[in-house]
Amino acid sequence: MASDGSRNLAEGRGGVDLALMKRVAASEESAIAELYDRFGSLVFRMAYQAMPTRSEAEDAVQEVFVRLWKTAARYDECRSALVTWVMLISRRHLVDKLRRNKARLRTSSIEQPAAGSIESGNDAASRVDVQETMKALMQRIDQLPDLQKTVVTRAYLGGQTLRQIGEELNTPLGTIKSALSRALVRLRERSGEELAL
Amino acid sequence: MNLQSLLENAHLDALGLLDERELADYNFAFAAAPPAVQQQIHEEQARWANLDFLLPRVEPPAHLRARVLDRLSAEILRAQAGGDVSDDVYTMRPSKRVSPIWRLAAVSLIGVAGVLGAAFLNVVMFNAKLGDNMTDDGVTRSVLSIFDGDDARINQKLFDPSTLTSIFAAKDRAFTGVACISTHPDWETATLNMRNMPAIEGSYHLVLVDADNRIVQDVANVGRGGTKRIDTHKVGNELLVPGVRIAIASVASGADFTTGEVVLSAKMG
Repeated sequence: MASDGSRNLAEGRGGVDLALMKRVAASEESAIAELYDRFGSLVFRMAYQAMPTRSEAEDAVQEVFVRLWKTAARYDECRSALVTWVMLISRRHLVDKLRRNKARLRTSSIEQPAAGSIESGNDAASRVDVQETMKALMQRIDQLPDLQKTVVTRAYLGGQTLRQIGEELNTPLGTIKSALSRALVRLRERSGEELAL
Repeated sequence: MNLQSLLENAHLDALGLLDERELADYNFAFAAAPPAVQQQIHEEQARWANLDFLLPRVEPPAHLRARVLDRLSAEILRAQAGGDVSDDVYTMRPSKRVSPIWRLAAVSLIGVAGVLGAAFLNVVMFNAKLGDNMTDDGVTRSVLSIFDGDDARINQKLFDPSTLTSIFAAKDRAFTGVACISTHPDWETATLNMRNMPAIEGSYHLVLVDADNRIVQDVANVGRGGTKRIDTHKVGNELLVPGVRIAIASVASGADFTTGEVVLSAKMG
């Protein structure tokens, strides 16, 4: 049950988002289209980063939207903004896929693109752009302290749970969490600085 | 969870990096946080969820929108046709079904237990009532037996001032037996009641004694004692006149009554 304070969070954008998700839960086609128009780009970029090929990324986007439809009735505007919910569902789905396939996001693939990923000329060009973006990201990650670098690579890019990382590194879970949180804050700050330049 | 941990976990939650246990802890802490903190976390998470700084700068292909909508239409049609719409990963598992046979057996067992319980109580109450009745009846019969069930004799014993009743006193204070004797001018016999008289080899005798408690005459043999019931004996009352000294003596088997030992004594009247 939401508290009064939580209810206040739902005011404004939250109310609109909740109404949208109710319509999605009711399988309204126009609502699903609206959901895609708002978050399709974000979901695709996440999938593109996580999946080894563009084709698999597109499949993953479809699966994420099916999952968003199935879970729409459970969206709680007091608990999180809709963008957070969409990100959460997407991220979990992609991590599940990564774990199922025993794959790893190709942090090393920046230098070595996946073999067998046949792409068109435009796709190949965009993949080069993506690789440039990833290279820049990895350079920023490389500048992080060792623990932060390890944790962000394994957790965010590798899909490992923080508990697994803590056990493998023999480090308390709280330390792992703090390291990841600080790493992400620092990456965000660096990204902002670069954009400002 | 302190504020620092809550905010750290909020970042990780926004990125889907909390496992189930951590998520449960975080949700609990979030629900307990003040509204202002919840508001701050809400905004922080929304900011974090926009992962521009981590994501490649690439746009989805134009055809993807139509593919997503087609896929969803197909899923919706499948669901409407009776397919499974539950989300296998994020749906709470329903509790295991209980077999209707077990449910029926459990309900039957409860019913049988209720019936047996009621029957048991009924039997207990019936037995208690029966016991009370038997006790009452036993007491009544015991009292009546003292007077041979003679109602007139009971009235005379209890309420007639002409009735002489004497209570015997024990010579030895450790002696457990008690006795009393009643007689009335209209009775042909006196009634001697005794109780708790110790069992002896010989027999007890009602006797007349002199002032020194020496036995001077035998009146009646009144048994060997040994019972806790009230023993009632009808004895001749010709000698039991007011003022005469009487006693109960234990007399050895085969011995002369004059050798008996006085255990209880009284004076008529």
